[in-house]
Amino acid sequence: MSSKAEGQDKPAGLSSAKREDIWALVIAGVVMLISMAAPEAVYNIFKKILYIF
Amino acid sequence: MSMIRSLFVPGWSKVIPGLIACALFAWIVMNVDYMLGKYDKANVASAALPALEQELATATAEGDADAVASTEKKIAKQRKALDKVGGAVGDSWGWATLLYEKFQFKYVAMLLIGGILIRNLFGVPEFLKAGIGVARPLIKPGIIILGVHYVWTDVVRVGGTGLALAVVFIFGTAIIVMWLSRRFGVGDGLGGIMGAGTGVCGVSAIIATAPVVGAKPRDMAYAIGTILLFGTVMLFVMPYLGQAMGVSEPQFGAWVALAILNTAQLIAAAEWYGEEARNTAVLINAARIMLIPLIVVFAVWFYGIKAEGKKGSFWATMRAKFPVFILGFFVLIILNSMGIAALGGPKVDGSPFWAMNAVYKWFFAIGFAGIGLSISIEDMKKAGGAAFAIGSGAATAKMVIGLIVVLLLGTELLRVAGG
Repeated sequence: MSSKAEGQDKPAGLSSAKREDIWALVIAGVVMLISMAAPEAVYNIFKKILYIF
Repeated sequence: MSMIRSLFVPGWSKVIPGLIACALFAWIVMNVDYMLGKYDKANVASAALPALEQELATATAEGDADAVASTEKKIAKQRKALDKVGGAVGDSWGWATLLYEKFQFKYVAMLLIGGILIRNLFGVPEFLKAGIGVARPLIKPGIIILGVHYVWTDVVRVGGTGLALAVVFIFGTAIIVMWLSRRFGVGDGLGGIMGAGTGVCGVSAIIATAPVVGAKPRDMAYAIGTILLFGTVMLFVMPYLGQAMGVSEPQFGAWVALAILNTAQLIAAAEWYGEEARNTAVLINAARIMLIPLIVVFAVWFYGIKAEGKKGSFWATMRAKFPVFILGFFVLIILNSMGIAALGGPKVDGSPFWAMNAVYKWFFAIGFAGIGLSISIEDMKKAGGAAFAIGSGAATAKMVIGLIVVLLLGTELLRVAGG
């Protein structure tokens, strides 16, 4: 979880923990959309191509 | 637009170098883990194949078609493991099994221990620190994506049990720590955040509770130091303790979810122990972190703090402190439980959920790299005094009682079946 102090870095009212949470939702949403568009490619990249040894 | 702008902190580009460094560190370690795993499997296959071939000969002689088919399948699997390293029966890679199985030297341990060594022996350049701090929360999208592993029956059975345990343990610990802190003359600010920190979700709870109990920055440093020190020690000790005591994976998952106070650390310990341990730990932890707003409200009540006379301050606190990302985790569980053909499942080849299942580990790896690289021995030294003794005493008691409870509950109630 966040170790930043509450209220730190919150120019527009979002706490750092809330900002992290929203980014997490956005990233997971993007992963889901890409996985729906090209599941085989996502699987190959993360299960095969990234392992080079 | 202002909502989108608020997602970017001023000077956000400064996080990029540190984030890249964590991704690179994670990538190297994931490859080493993959290589070790490959040689470990080949070592096991090399030893197992002669016996399997003997078994096949016996089954063939007896005319047992089922046994022949099943043994042939096992032999094919073991041959595949040998082929991956270009080995043959009789070859030995005992070092790989020793490191991977006996010492549990898997990617979690490599990233955490490696990160701590790099940080404290060589130091981390200032320009990387911001990005390393941002890498840690990347565990959150990993947790959301992990939602594809669960179905509603898991949530009701394991999550329901976890929620009941979490309520008892969180409020039990928080009440005891806050009461002891008062009795031993620890200030309300420090006592309040120690109670919240040892009861619920470590650092997050401390940060959430600090403003309402009027904790000073020094109090926060003490409390965070205590939580991180306890969590770091337990992260390395609990997997070995669990193994020595023969604790099953689901039981271990429940145990760490109750005993370790920081989401990232407990997921690291559970992932280290095994996949089933991680599945149980993530679900119980999800139930637990949803209680963070309640612990803040409880601290307000316990210390008799006036809620600034605002109407609806209970709901305002709940809304402000609720970990929103966990909703994404539950949305994926709902979608997985509905059995939507277009989304498939984690075991349905070629489906979106099958693809997502391949991704989450990389988020965890980058997050664990961030944790390892941000554990500083200097920060640990900030833990101290009566608050440290009370906080770590309560956390240890919670760990021991948690172990007894999960052993009494048994494995099946805590096992995630998935779907």
